[in-house]
Formats: sequence, structure tokens, C-alpha cells
Amino acid sequence: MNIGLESEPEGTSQYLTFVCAGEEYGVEILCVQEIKGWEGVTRVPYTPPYLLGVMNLRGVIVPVIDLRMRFGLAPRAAGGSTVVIVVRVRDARAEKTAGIVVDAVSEVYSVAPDSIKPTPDLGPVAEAACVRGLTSVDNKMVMLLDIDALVTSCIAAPERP
Amino acid sequence: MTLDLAQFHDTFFAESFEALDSMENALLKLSAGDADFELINTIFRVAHSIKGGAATFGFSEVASFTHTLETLLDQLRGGKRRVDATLVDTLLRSGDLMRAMLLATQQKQPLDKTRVAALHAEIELILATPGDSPTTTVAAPPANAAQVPQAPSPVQLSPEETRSGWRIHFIPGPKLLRHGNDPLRLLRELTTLAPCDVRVDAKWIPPLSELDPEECRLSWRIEVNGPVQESAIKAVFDWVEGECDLKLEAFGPAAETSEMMPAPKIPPPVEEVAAAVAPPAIESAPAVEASLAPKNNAASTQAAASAAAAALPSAAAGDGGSIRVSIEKIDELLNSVGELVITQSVLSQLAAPLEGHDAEALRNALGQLERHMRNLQESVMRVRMLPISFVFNRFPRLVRDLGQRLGKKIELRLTGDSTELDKTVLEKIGDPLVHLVRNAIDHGIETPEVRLAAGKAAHGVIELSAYHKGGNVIVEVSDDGGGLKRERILAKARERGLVGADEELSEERVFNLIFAPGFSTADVVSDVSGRGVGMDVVKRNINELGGHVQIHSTPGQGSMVRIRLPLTLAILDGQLARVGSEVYVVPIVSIVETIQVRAEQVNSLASRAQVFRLRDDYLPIVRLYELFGIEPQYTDLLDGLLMIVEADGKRVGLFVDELMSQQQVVIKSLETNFRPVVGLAGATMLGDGRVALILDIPGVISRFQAQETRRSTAQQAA
Amino acid sequence: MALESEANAPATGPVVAPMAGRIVLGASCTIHEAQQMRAQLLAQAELPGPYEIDGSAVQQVDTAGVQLVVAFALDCLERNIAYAWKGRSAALDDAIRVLGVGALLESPV
Repeated sequence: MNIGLESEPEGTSQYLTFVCAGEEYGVEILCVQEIKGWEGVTRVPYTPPYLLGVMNLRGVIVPVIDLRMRFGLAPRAAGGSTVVIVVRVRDARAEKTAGIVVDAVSEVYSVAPDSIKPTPDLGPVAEAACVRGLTSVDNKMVMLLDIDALVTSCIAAPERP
Repeated sequence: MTLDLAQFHDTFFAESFEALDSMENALLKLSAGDADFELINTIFRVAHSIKGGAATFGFSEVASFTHTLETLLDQLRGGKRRVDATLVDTLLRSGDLMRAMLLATQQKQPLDKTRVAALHAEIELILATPGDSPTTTVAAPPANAAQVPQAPSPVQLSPEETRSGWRIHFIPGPKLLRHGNDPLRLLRELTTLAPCDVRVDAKWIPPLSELDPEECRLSWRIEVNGPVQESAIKAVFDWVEGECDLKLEAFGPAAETSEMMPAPKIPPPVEEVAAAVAPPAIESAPAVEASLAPKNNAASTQAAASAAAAALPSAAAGDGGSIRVSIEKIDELLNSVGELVITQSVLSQLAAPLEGHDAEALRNALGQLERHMRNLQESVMRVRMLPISFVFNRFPRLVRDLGQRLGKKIELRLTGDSTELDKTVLEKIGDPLVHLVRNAIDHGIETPEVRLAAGKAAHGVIELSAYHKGGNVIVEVSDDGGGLKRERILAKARERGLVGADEELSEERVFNLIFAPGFSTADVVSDVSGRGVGMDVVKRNINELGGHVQIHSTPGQGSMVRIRLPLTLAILDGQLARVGSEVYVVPIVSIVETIQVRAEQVNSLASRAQVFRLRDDYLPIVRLYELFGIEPQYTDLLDGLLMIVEADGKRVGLFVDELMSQQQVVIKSLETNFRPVVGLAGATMLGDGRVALILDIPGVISRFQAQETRRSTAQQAA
Repeated sequence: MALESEANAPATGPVVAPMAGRIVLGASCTIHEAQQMRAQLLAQAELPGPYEIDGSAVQQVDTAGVQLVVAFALDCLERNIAYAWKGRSAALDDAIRVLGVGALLESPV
């Protein structure tokens, strides 16, 4: 973990990065509540496939989203190494907790605001509203996600009939 | 150390709002024609005590307005002015204004000074006009069940006895000074009523080194020498009622009236102790605060029934004391009880298969534990339950104002207002009920002319009733108006594409169309019930509470809306059922019976749908695995089980693989972090930590119907 | 509102300048100053009597304030220490009258 001792530029945030289908993504560390191993979910009918179901997080019902499927990629069977990042997001009215399933968690990086570039049109995979921008760390390109928008759009998605 | 009075603001506001409610109640009764002295007195005392409190806390605008109001009320009290409809109207509006002022002060918002000045001027104007003393129009207060029967009063508005004077024994309690009250001020006020003889008792003052300077150890015996009314004396001590011992004793010969009424000592009827519906009445930031008369060091600790009892807000009718508890504490308690329920359930399950003598003893003990748990649960749940009167109390005023505005005469009947429901349900049922009542007044009840022409009485009747039935609370809003116009509704629905042009619907289904989104048969969306709040919002609000709503109507005779609400939101008796590898919880209250299917009971219909013959009824079969998209263990009806469930008068058979245990489950909301799903009432955690979804039977049935409709449409198209 | 030295102490605090014998009640003797007033009166009681109580500067007073004076007077009675009133303001007089404690506060002979 990069804990910079030198002073950081104004507006620098820390992002937790993770891997999903070979790509690196980042979410603001302030939104991350915890990281859990996979313990299974209960499927909820009438919800899109990327909504894997709900899980029990210390007595609270929390939805679990599969990021691969959300981005339109082939799903991977959940298993021992699957990781669930539990995030806390804000929608119009309230705060919600949700879990997102990713392949693996990487590192926490400090990202200065001027290192964030706007996203070129990457098509449906980037789901433009949910990718805030691109940045480069350790020679890798990381897509920074607007996790509030991502999770709330998953939850609000219309039902399949 | 300075004394911070701000901590007592909350109590002042809460109690003032409650007092304003009882003032409104009394005013409404006055306007209905019972010009009762007790009512006028109640109103006076409300104004007086709010004025006193406002003055203490430095809310000078409130105090000043209330003071003027009090002057007017004093005239009514003294029989110097007659009560008439315009006056009652002014007083009602004054109450509204006071409420608004207090709310603004509480929320640190600016006061609406124009409004205050206007109403203030209006009252001054009334005061400037000499009022006629009431003549024989004032009737004696009728004997009330909760009051001591009073002899018929003389013509004037002051039937209270007036003697030569009063002896008062006033013993301040330990908190009196700290709460911002001052005996000096109270005694001064007494001297304004009549000359007083004051005797202080200092025997309880300890040495200075032991004295708590913020606790009053002085007490007084006061002789008030003059024909002062008891209510006047009580009014002085209004604000400190809960914080002192007060004994009143009249002395001297009676005044000229030959009939003597004993001073009313019974606490006012429960309905007058109406508390505000708003949360401040229930929750308050300061921790538990006792409003019982405090125990004193002095030997006699009798709480004066007349003084102390009158202002006690009791959540339940008629009991002695009450305390305010923060809602978070209750919810924590409920949560803990819920967790206990789950653990007890797990224990019972673990003990079930054990063998041996000890196992038997264990099972017995666990059985007892379960019974104790249920009792505990019910008790705790009841802490959160409040009578529906908190909501019903809004309506007399609403009906009166609306009826006047629309030129309709309405009689409001309230039944079962002591029926209790969970506080959360109570808070959210108010708005839908208001909408339904407004609707009934606006569209249901006809104008007097129309009614008379139809051979009905000129005034319409709206009835609100509440009762418990089978684990639910039923609330009905009915009116004897013109009823729903079936053809008009059907036409509108066809117009909006909600119903097919040729589709025939049962009468019940037509009437329930008015709950469909965007539906309104009013040609003009009146300001009264329109405003974008439609019946569909009412239905949604009720559904969100886990309830159901239906409407019945007879043209020309009236309509009735029936709302069914769960008694509690938190815990459910459920039957676990397995479909494939998923476990669902079916509310026991919805289950009629569960059976193993025999071939001869199943009939196939043309569209592949199957029905099941249960005695004389044919019930649709709902294959849950199909509905929910699960891989089942059995697809052949003869292999699994059929759970016959019922909702809203409809019955279906749910096909499942296997029945598991019955247990109490704690309902967890899907909405906290997700969203509502039609067909699901929530989720719960099983003993092994797994999440099981709880079915909402009406939702499941409507999903099934939608599925079948799509299927048959697709088949027709094919 | 700490204790002030006797010399030119303005009468602002509840009890001003403990001098052997002289108690001066300040302008405000209400529940807001009650704790302090009690402490000061107690300090005063450490000093030998007889006492002189000057209440002519009192402007605000309430039951709490009066009660403290009463307690002090009762203590004096018990300890057999004499005290005398040297002036009472109108406000103080009125409060004493309404609360009916006049007899209790009469200078013992």
C-alpha cells in the first residue's frame, strides 16, 4: 500500500483498485466499507442477471452485483478466490450498502486530480456515466468508477418481465 | 454554573403541541353546540400555560400573542362574552397560528409576523367590541361518563362553585427550580387573584453546607381570601403540575347558587388527552423524564388527583403514568428480541432430532423458552403500538373545515379509535386516510340539495372505523354519498387504455380501477383532493406498509374503502418451503392448507394452465419454479406439494418441492439497500445465516396472473 | 464572578468581598448565580461574626436566591451568631414579602 509521506497535491483522493476481466478499475477508498470473501448469495427473482442476489451482512440485507456481467462481459463462476467489495453509496434519497464481485483486489493508490484524463468513447463496456476518468499508475491504465452512479443504476434497473 | 433552560425546550414544545390539540378538540365540541364551561376552561388553561412557558423561555412573540388570546378567553370564562361561530373560528385559527409559531421557534425559523399581526389585530377588534353576555342559550354540561355528574347549572357560564376562599398547600418538588419555575412568580400570581396570606415552612432547609442551591426546600401554605374559582388557582400552577405537591381546599360558605357542584376532580375524558400525532409526542431527545408527581421528603406524598392527573399524556387510555422514551431505544430493544427469536428457533431445531431422556427435558425447556419469547415479543411490540385515535383525531377539524368550504353538511363518526397499531404504520397511514376522507367529502357526499332530492338526509355521514381481525388491523372509510359510477370509471379506464375495449370486468375489479396510476374521474382536479396525489399513491403507500386496500360501492348509497394493515412490521410466523435449492418463507396467515396432489384433482385447461379441484372450488396452480426462474427438484405435480394460499379473497395453489419447518422470522427489508420487489415481502436470515426471501402472496398472485395473460396473448398471436 | 477584593469591588457578584462581618449581596441573586452565591456565603461563614447583611444593591432575585439567604440566616441562628440587615432593596423586600420569609430573616436580637 502506497502511503505517501510527501505532501500530496490538493484534491488527491485514494482509490482502491481491482481487476475485473483483465482490466483495472478503481473506486474511492472512502466508499469502501470492507472486503469479504464470497459466502454465497440468495437469488432474487425479477432482477437482471448481473444482480447476483442478496447476502446477509451482519444482519442487514445487501445486494450483490457482478461487475463482469454488468459490463457485458462473460461471467466467471464464483469460487474460493472471488472477492466481494462492500461499498457505501449515495442515491437521491439515502445511503445504501452493496457488494460488488470482482476477480481480485489490487492496491490503494493516491490519485491527484490532474492525473485523471477524461474517458474516450470506449463503448458500452465503460458505461460512460459510471467511469469518471482514466488514470495511469505503475504503468497500468486504471478506469476510475463513479461507484454511486454504478450501484444506483444497477438497483434501479427495470425488471425483466 | 449557569442553568441552561434550553434542555427543557423540547418538553415545552411537546407538551404545548399536545395542549393545542386538546384546545382544538374542545373548540370543535363548542362549535358543535355544546357550550360547556369545562370546555371553555380547558381552552383558557391551554392558552394560559403556553403563555407561562413561553414567557419563562423568553419566546416573547408567542407569549405576547397568547396573552391577548388569554384576555379574550378570560372574558368567555367569566361569562362576559358569548360564544358564537365566528368566535370559535377565530379561536381555531389562533390555535393554528400558535402551533405554527411554536413550530417555527422550535425549528429556529423566522415567524410569520404579518400573520401574527393580522390575527392579533382581529382579536383586539373583538375585545374592543363589547360582548353580549350569554343568555339562556348555554346549556348545562351533559353528564359525561368520565365526569362526576353535575347538577344543572344556572344560566351563567360559571357553574363552578365559588366559596370564600381557598387553602393551598404547595410543596415544590426537587426539579421545580431547575426546570425554570419560580415559586416567587407563582405566589405573586396568586396575589393577583385575591389577597393572600402566605406562610412558609422552612423546616426542610438543611445547613448551608449541605443545601443544593438549585433545589427548593421551602414549602408554603397559602390562604387565598376571595371568591376565586378553583380553575383560576389551578391555572397558576399549571406549568408545575408534575413537579410539586399541590393540595387545594376550599373554605367558607358557598355563594348564592343553591346547587353546589363539587369541584371536578376526575381527570378529563381520555379523548381530551389527545396528544399530537407528530413524533415529538412520542420521542424526545432528553432521556426518560418522569411526569409522575415526585416523592417528597415530606411525610405525605399524595399526588393531588386534580392537579397532577389532568395533564398526564397517556399513550394508552386511562392508566396512571407514562414516560417518554426515545424511539431508538425501543428499536434497539425490538432488534435484540428479534435476534433472540432467531437463536431460540435455532436451538429448537438443533434439539429436535436428539435422543434420550435428557433430550426430552431439553425440548421441554426449549418449549417453555419459546412461550416466554413470544410473550416478551408481544410485550415489546406493544410498546411500539399506539391507538389509532392519534390519527383519527385529525379528522373532526378536517371534516368541519372541508365541509364548510364545499358547502356540504357532514357528520363524522369515529369507531374503534382505541385500536392499536405499530407506531410506524400509524405514522404512515395518516396521509392516505386524509386523502380518502377528502375524496369522500369532495366526490362522495352530495350537496344537501342533491341529497334531499334523492330522499336522503341533508347531512352526509362519513364513518372511520378500526378493528383487529386475524392478525391484522382493518381500517374502513365509508360514506353514504352517491357511490362510484361504474360506467364512468370503465369508460375512463378504456380511454386510458387500462382496459381493453371489449374486456368485461367484475364490478369489484371496475371499482378497484380507481387505484390505477394516473386515474382520476374528477373532471376538474380540485385543489381539495387533487394535487397529483391520486388514489394510486394511496394504494402504494398502503402496500408499502405491507397492507392492502379495496373499495366497495353501491351506486346512490355510498362507498367503503377497506384497508388491511399488518399489526406489526417486524416479525412473522412463517412456513419454510423449498423450491429447488432455494428456500422461501410463506406467511402462515396466508396459508389455508397444504396437500399432496392426486391425479384426479388436477384438470388441464386449454392454455396449458392447470387448475386444482379443492372440494367445490377450482384453484389455479402456480408453479413457483416457473414464476421465479429456478431449477426445481420436481416438475410433476404429483411429486411435490401444493400449498393453498389466499389473499384478497383469491386462492391459488403454490407448487413447491418440500415443506420445511415453521418458525418465526424477523422481517428484514429489501428496500434498505435494494428496492421493493412485487411478490416479495422482504427477506430474513435463517439459523445458518442464509438469506431466505419472504413471499408476499398478493404480489405472487398478481405476477402469476400477468404471466398467464402474457402466455395466452402469445398463444393467440401464434 | 469570583471573589473580589474589598477595596473598590463594584457590587456585581452575588456576594461581594467577604470582610469580617460584612456581607454585601450583589445585583443579581438568582438561580443562575446560586452555586456561586452559596460558596461565597459559606466562605463568609468561616469568618467570625457578627455579620452585617447589606441587601441594598439587589436588583434581580428569585426563590433560589432568597432560599440561600434564609439558609444562611438559619445557620447563624443555630450557631448563635448575630446578624443585622443594613438595607434591603425594594426588589429584595418584595421577594421576601411574597415568599413569606420575613419573619425568618428578621435580625435576631
